[in-house]
Order: sequence, then structure tokens, then C-alpha cells
Amino acid sequence: MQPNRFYFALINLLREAKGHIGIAILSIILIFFISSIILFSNALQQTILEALEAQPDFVVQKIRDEVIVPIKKRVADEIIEIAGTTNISLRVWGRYTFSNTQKSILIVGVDFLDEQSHDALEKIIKSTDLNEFLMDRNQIIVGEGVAKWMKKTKRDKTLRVYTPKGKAVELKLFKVIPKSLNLFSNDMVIMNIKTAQKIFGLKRSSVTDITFDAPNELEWDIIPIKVSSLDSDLRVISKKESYKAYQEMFDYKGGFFLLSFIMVAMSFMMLLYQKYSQVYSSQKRSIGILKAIGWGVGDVLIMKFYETLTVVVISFIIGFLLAWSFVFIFDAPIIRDIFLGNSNFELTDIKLYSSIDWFNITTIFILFALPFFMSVLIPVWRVATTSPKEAMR
Amino acid sequence: MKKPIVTLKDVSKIFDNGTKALDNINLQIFKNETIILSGVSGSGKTTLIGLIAGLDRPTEGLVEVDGVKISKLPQIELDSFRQKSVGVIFQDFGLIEYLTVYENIIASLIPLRLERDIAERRVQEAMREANISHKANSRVYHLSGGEKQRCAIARAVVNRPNIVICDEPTANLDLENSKQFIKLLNGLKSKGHTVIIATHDPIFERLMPNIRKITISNGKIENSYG
Repeated sequence: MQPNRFYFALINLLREAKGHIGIAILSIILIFFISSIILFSNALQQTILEALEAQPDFVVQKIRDEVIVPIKKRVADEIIEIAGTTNISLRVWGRYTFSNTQKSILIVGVDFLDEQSHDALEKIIKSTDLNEFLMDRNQIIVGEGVAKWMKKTKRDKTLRVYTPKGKAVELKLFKVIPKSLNLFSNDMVIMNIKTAQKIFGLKRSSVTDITFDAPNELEWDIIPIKVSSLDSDLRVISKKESYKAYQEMFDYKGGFFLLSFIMVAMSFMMLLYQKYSQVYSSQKRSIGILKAIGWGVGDVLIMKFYETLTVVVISFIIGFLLAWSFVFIFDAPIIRDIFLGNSNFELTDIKLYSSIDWFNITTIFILFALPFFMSVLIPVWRVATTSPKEAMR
Repeated sequence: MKKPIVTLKDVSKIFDNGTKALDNINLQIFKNETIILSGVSGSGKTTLIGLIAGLDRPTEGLVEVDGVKISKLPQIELDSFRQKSVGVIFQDFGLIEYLTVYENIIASLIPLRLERDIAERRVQEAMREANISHKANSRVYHLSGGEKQRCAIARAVVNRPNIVICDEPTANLDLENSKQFIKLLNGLKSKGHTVIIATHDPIFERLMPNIRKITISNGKIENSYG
């Protein structure tokens, strides 16, 4: 290797490794911690947005006195008349809470013979043997969270719910929704629309909402206006609105994490500065010797820059790779609980998209590397600009 | 007429605390000359060689070394002067303890940006000259005083300076190692180096009888003979 400042930086680093190991370990932990959160939150965001993508383009509900009220099935016939609408489906969609455990399930009643505008539902229905499933109206398809809970509470095969009039309905487990759809289906119980109507005390002519698609996005602004004109109580929620709401939530969370990271990075910088001030008072003599044998201030700073760059890059790569493995190979056990542990049913088994947001990664690197360089190079510069005799003393 | 390689003209040095370390020094040292700067501790020897080595600047006066007026040089050029013109052997050897002998020596060549082969050849040559090749891969803190001194010599000559400056070189050596060191200095002289030794060790006068001796007292040149 050419005997240059980089070569000497590596030698210096190698010979004084123990002086850098503590800082490197601290850096790896910091990078691991921050990267894990950012990777997990990005992957979750991506997964949720993918799940949202599978939702129908529009959901129509009827609101009266700010409360969702049943909507007549015939409204669907009127919506179908509006140019540009397709895949119109009727749904009974609502929460049912078990008063003794305060657990709530999401009841989804659909007409299995209709085409669904919800891609994930369509996928579930297509993978179900409808002949067998529809033989018994009380058969249900449940999300993994519900299935686990049923097992835990010894209700392996049946789930008893009550109608508003107090009549018991015994729901029978037919199958469990695949894990890959967990984020969307964890607390979901899919059943025949008529059974759902019975549970919520709805008339046969009513549902909770109507969903539809509009393939031409240019018409997405006008179609809700046309639907609302059918009945002033109708509220039309577009997929775009949900998407925007989630995006805002993630932007807010992202900002929060960035702020937290800046605070952690500042504390880290102070710690580093203190540590390196100590290191460099002991390295003062070495720098003085190098100056005495002809090294300039620039030579010393460049050598220390390379030395720091090596520590920063190695720590960053190790910390980041550990974080990546932790999130995408080991499924981020603790972070997962923090992010998803408050779910109604423990949402512990979701399939995350392993996406990497390079902007965030670059931001972490800069916010990590900058204080690191400053806390090393400032004390070095102070020593290097004193006279060699003074520094060697 | 012989041209001096070191010229000090009306040089004074006053430290920040007001101590006058050197007072109106006028001195000339010639190429391939070996001189001894003697005097008691605190007489100003180390300050004087610090000025010649470009490690410090005078408060007043002119210091010209190897044709360069170093007392007037900007810092960056003074660093470059130290790279090329002088090699210093410090009283405490001035070695980086955690590095090996080889690494301490090659450190002197790094600012010169030499090709690998050339740098390698120079380091091997310097180690051979100082008789320290066998310890090339030993870390300095494992060396004896004599070995550290030889490593310091190798480092001082590796960049092929015209002037080698030694500050109390035998202060940390026993008699045998001091004799070895003087033998090495004689070798440097024979290779054309100008050697300046600041010392109050009488062994130099005994073993190097025919060299010029300058005595400094209270920051002034008291006498010069030889």
C-alpha cells in the first residue's frame, strides 16, 4: 500500500483500536436503534399503503346527525347508473364488541356471489370453496388474530354473538385468512351478508355501506358529487382521502422520529466530544511528534479524517445491517410490539415489505457522521495548531 | 569562503511568561560540520535548537537554515521545511509509543508523498544505518533506551536532511549505549550531514575531540572553540 495519510490512518487506528472500540460500539447501537425504527416504520407504511391500494376506490355511507345509519340497497342501483362506476358491492361492515372481554371484531358481511371491489376480499373469496361455505349461512372466515383468540378462549370452532334483541347467533369457523393479509384482516370476521344484517339488526333491504370503483381517475372528483346528489345524507369516502390521511400520519411520525434522532444525535455528539477531548489530550503528544517531523496541520487533519471516516462507515454499515436483519429477518420483536401491540388483537405476524427509503438512510448517515467528525476534528485541530514543542510537552 | 548552512543573526527569544531564553545570539554553522552546544540545564540550548529546527520562532532576529529564512516563513512552509531539511533526535526520543519502529520511521516520509518502493528503500536504509532493522516490527514501548535512540536516529535521517539536530541525546542512555550513539553520529558526519548536538554530557568531548564546541550561558553564547 502507498505510504500515504490513509495508510497511516489505518495503522494508527489498528494500533489504537481499543481507544475506538467503545465509541464504535456506541455508534453501532445508536445506528441499529434508529435504523430499526426507521426501517420498520417505512416497511409498515409501505405495507399499509399496499393494503390501502387493495381497497375499493369509493365507500358510500349514510350519515344522519353525525351517526352512520343503514343505507338502502336500492341506492346501489342508482349508483350503477352513474357513468364511470363499476364493481358495485353491498357490505355490512361494523364492529361487534364482546362486553365481557372488551375485544371487538370487525364484522364484514358480503354477498359472496357478487364481484367485490375490495381486492383483498375478492382474493379471499376466490380462494374459498363457496359451495361448501355457503351450505351453512353461519359459517365464517376469520383473520389470524381472531383465530388465535378463539383458540386461547377455548372457542376453537365457534363464536357466539348476540343480535340487538338478545338472540344468540352461533358462528362456525370455516377457515382462517392467510397470514399475508394480516395487516388488513387480523381482527376481521367475514360472513354471509344476511347473517351480518341479523347481528346488527338491519333489515334485509339495508346495508351499512356500498363500495364501488371508478377506473378513470380523472372522474374521481366528479363522481362523489354525483353520488351525493342522489341523497344529501350520503357521504362518499375516496381511497385517496384514506391514503392522504395515512400519509399525513406517517409524515407526522417521520418528523417525530427525525426530531428524536436529532436529540439523540446531539447527546451522542456531546458524549463523543467529551470522549475525544480526553482521547486527544493523550494523543496530543503523538500529534506534536508528527508536527515535529514535518506533518502540517492539514496532514494531521486529513489523517484523522480518514481515521474517523473508517470508524463512521464501519459502524454505520454494521449498525444498519444489524437493523435490517432485525427488522426483515427476525421480524423486529420489540419494535413490532411497540408499533402494533396496542391492536385489538395482537398483530404480531404481518408480512412486511422490505423497502428501504434511501433519503432517510442518507439523513441518518449525515446526522450521525457530522457530529462525529466535528467532535473528533475540532479537538485535533486545536492540538495541531499549537506549536509542536507545546503539543509534545 | 565557506558558506554557512545555519545563520542566526541578533536572535532573541522571550517566552509568553516573560522569560528571556535567548539574548542576541549570532552564530554560523557550516556544511558537514559537527558542533556541540553545551551549557547547564536552562541555559537556552534546547530553545536554540528548537529555532534551528523550525519548531519555534524567534521573538527577534533572523534564522536562516539551508538557504531558507525560516524565522519569516508562514506556518505551512515551515512544516514543509521541517519535512525536508532537518531531522531531530529528541531528548525523550519523541517516538509514538504504540507504533512499531518501521511505522515511526515511515511516518516521516508520509508528507513527502513518495512512491512506495522509494519510501520502502529509504526506511530499510535508515534502519540499517541506525542498526535497528532487527526490531522493525516491534512496538516502541517494547524497546530498550538504546533501541529507542537508534529508532530516533533512523527516523531523523530517513528523509535525508542536510542537518541532524540532537537534543540531550545521551541523557537517557547508559555509557555503552552512549558510545554506540556517538559511533552512529560519526557515521552521519561521514555521510555529509551537518550535526548539531545540544548536550552537557562530557562523553562527547572525550569521544569527539576535534569538533567545535559552543557554550551557552543565560541565553548568551559564552565562548566558541574548536
